Amino acid sequence: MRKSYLAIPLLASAVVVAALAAVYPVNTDFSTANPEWNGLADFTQEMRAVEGPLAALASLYDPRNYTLFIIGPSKSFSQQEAAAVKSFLARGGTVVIMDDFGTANQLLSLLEAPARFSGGLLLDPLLNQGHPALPVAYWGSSRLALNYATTLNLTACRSARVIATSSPFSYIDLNLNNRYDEGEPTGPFPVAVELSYGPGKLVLVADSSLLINSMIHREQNARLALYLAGGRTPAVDNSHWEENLHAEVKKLLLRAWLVASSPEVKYSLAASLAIAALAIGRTHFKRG
Amino acid sequence: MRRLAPLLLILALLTQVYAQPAIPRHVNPEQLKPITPDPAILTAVYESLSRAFLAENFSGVAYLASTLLNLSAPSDLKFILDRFHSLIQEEGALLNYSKAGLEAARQLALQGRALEALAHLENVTLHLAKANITYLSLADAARAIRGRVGAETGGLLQSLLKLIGTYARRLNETGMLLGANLTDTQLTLSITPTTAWVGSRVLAYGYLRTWQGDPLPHRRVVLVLEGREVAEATTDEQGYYSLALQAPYIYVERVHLLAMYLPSGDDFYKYKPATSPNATLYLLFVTPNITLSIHPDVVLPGDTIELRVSLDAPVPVVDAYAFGEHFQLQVLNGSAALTLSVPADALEGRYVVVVSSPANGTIAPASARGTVTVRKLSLNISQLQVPMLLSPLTTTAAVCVSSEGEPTPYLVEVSIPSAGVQASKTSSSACTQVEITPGALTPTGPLEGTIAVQPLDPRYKPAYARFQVYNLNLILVALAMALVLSTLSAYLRVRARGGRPQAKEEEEKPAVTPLVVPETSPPRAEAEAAPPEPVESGDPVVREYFRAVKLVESATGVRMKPSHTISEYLSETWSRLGKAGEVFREISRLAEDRLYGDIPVDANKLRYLVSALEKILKEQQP
Repeated sequence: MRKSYLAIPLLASAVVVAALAAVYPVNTDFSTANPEWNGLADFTQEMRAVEGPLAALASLYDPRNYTLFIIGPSKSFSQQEAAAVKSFLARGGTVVIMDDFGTANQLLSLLEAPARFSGGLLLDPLLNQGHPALPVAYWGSSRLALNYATTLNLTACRSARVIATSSPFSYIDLNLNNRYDEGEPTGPFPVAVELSYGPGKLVLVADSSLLINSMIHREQNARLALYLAGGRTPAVDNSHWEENLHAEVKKLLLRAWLVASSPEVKYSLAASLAIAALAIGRTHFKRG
Repeated sequence: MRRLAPLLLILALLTQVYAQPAIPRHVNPEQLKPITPDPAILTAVYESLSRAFLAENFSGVAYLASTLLNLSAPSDLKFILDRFHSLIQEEGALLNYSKAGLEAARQLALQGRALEALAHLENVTLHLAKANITYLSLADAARAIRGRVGAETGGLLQSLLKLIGTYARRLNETGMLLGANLTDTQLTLSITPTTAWVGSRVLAYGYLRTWQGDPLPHRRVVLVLEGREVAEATTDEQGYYSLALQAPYIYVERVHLLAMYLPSGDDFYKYKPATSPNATLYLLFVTPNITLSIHPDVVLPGDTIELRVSLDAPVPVVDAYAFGEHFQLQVLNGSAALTLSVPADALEGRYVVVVSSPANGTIAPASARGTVTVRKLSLNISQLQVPMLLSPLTTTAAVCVSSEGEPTPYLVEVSIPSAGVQASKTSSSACTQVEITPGALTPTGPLEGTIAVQPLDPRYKPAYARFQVYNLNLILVALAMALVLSTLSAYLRVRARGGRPQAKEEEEKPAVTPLVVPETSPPRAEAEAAPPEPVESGDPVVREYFRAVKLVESATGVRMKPSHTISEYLSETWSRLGKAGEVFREISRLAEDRLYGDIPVDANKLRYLVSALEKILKEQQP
C-alpha cells in the first residue's frame, strides 16, 4: 500500500515535468526552437528553414532546392559528415558555414578548403552597435551588425570572392584586453567570403551570431540571410550545438513520441487498451 | 572515498569553469550600454581627416565624416559627436565648392570671360565666409569633445584654418588676374621624322610667341605624350625650342604629342597659357605571328597534352599559361613545344591555354590562345537492391556499377540518416555488397537513403542514387506482442475468476489468507499476533462462515482449497447441497459482503443461518 501511495505522486510529477519540458521553449544557443535573444527561431520561421542532423541534410536534400547552413558548431565533425558535405557540394550545392570560435575549422580541414576562421576576436572601437565587440561590417554599401565575430584567414586561397569586410577601424584583439595594442592587426578584414568548391559554393561567414533573434533585424543582416540562401530553402544543421538538460529531455520526449508512433507500438497499445477496457467492463457488469 | 567525493566534485566544477571558452559566442545586445568611444582612436581618425583636408582630398573627407556619423556612443555624447562630424562634413563640402569655384573662375579669367569668372568668385567668397563661420562652431565643439571624450582635434582645426587661408589667397590672386590685361600666346610643335621605330630618336621643336608674333625667350615649355609629361625645354632668344625625344616602346600605330606653356612668376599676370596643336608620331615595330596547337584537345584528368608553338619572329622564350600554372618555353628555330599533364583534380569543363611572347625592343608582344576540354568518364549505378530492413539485424545491400571505360575501383557509401546507417565499402568488381545495420530504435516504416559511388580514379566522375526501403523493427514488434499477450492473459485470468479484477483480489489477500489456509479456525494466539486488518480472522462473520464451510465439507466431502474463492467454493458444492444450498449461498453472500464489500453484516443473522444449515444437513443425512 505504501508503494502505491509513493508511485502516484512520482508518476504525476514525471508527467508534469515531461509536460513542462515539452511546452516550455528551450534557451540553448542557436536552437531553432529558441525564441529568446540567442536562438534562431526568427530566422527559421521567416526563411521557412528546415533543420536536421548534418549528415541527413547533406545526403538527402536536393542542392537545387536547399542551401545548407552550419551555424555556430561546437561539436566536432566526423569523417562521414564531411563526406556528406563534400557530396552535397559535388552535386552543385551551396554550404554556408557561420562560425567564430567554434569547430568549423575542423570541418574546413576535413573538406581540404583553403580558408580558415582566424579565431581572433574582432573589435571595432569606432563603428559598432554600442560595444567594440559588436562591430559593423560592410557588405557593398550595406551595413551588417556582428556580435563577437572573428575574421577569415585567406592566405592559402588562390581565389575567393569577398562578400563583406570589417571597417578600416577594426582590429584583432590578440591579448583580449579590449584595447588596441601596438602590433595587433588592423582592418579591414574579410568577414564573409565565397569559395568555389568544384561545382558547388562554400560561403564562410566569420560570425556565428549574425542571424540570432537579437541580431537578424539589425542593419542588413536579414537581407544577407536571403542572399546567402540564394532563393533556396535554408537547411540548418542542428547536430553540432551544445545542448542543456532541458533540450536533451525535449529530444528524448520527441524520440519517445516517434517510437510510440511506430505502427507496432501504436496498434499493440490500442489492442491492449481495448482488452483492458473489455476486462473492466466485464468486471463492472458482473459486480453491478 | 567519502572524504574524496567533495574534492572530486570541486575538481570537476573547476574543470568545467576552465573548459569554458575564453571568448563568448555572443552577448545580448539589448543588455549592453553604449560605451564612450576610445579617445586614442578618435584622435587618430581626426588626424586622418586633417591629412585629407591638407591634400584637398574632399572625397576622403566626405567618406571619413560619413563613417564617423555611424559611430556609437551614449546618447548625450552621441549628439555632440554627431554634430561635430556633420559640421566637418559641411566644412569639407564648402571648401570643395570653393576649390572648384576658384579653378573655374581662373579658367574663365584666362579665356577673358570676366563676368562669368566674377560670378564664380562671388560664390567662392560666400562659401569661404560660411566655411569660416563653420570653423568657429567646430572649434567650440572641439573643446567640448576634448573635455568629454578626451580626443584631440587640434591638428584638424589647424589644417582647416590653413586651407581656408590658402583659398582666400587664391581668391585674391584670381581677382587680380581678372583685373590684369593678359596677352595671348601661341605655341607650335613639330616632329621629325614623323615615322620612327620604337626606341629610336626623333626631334621635337617649335616656337613660343605672343599673339602679335613677338618671341618669348627663356620660357619653359613642357612636352606631353599621351597625357603624360615626358620632357621640357627652354626657348631661345627667338622663342625657338627643340629637344631629342626617344620614340616610346609603345606598340601602337601612332602616338600624340603636345607642348604646353604655363606662365609663372611675373608672367602669371602678363601672359595667357598656351597649348600647341597635337603632333602625331607614327611608330614602327614587328608583330610576331604565334600559332598554338594543342593535342589532344579533349582529355581526361591525369592525361598529358602537347602544346606546339611556332613564331615568325626571333623571340628566345615564350610564356605558356595552362591550368593555373605558368611555364616558360625556349624557342628554337621559331618553334617550341611543351608536354604537360592535366591535373588529377581538374574539374570537367573547358580550359583556356594562353601562349605569349614578351616585348623585346622592336618586337611587339604577341599571344595566342587555345582551349582544352577536360571530361570525365561516367560511372552508373546499374543495379541497386536494398532488401527490407529488420532492425537491429544486419542486412546486405547489393550495388552494381557500370563504367564508361574499363572497370575501376570505387568506394560505395550507403547512408540512411533516420536509421543511423552510414556504411561504406571499397570494391573493384562490377557488383559489391554492403552490410547495413539499422539502429535498434529505428521506427518501422519507409526510410529514405542515398548511395554514392566515389571513384578512386580521378578520371571518373561520381554517381549518386536515392532509394526507399521499408524497415521492420523486430524489437518493437516483440515488445508489442508481449504487451498484447500479457494484457490478454490478464484479461483471461480476470474472466476465469468471475470478473473480479486481480488487483482487487491481491490487495485484499492479507485478509483472505488466514481464512483459506486452515481447515479449522486458526489458533487464537496466531490470530491475535496477526497485524490489524480491516477484516480479521476473529471476526464473528468470518468465524461463522468457516463453521458453515466445515459443515459443508463434512456433508459433501468437497474440501475448500487455498485457491478457492467464496463463490468458487459455492459453485463446486452447490449441486451436492440440495435444499441446504440456498442457505449456504446466503451465508456465502453475507461473507462476501463483509469481506469484499465492506458492508456491515449482522453476525446474529449469520449465526442463525449457520444453525439452520446444520439442521437441514442433519435432516438430509441418510
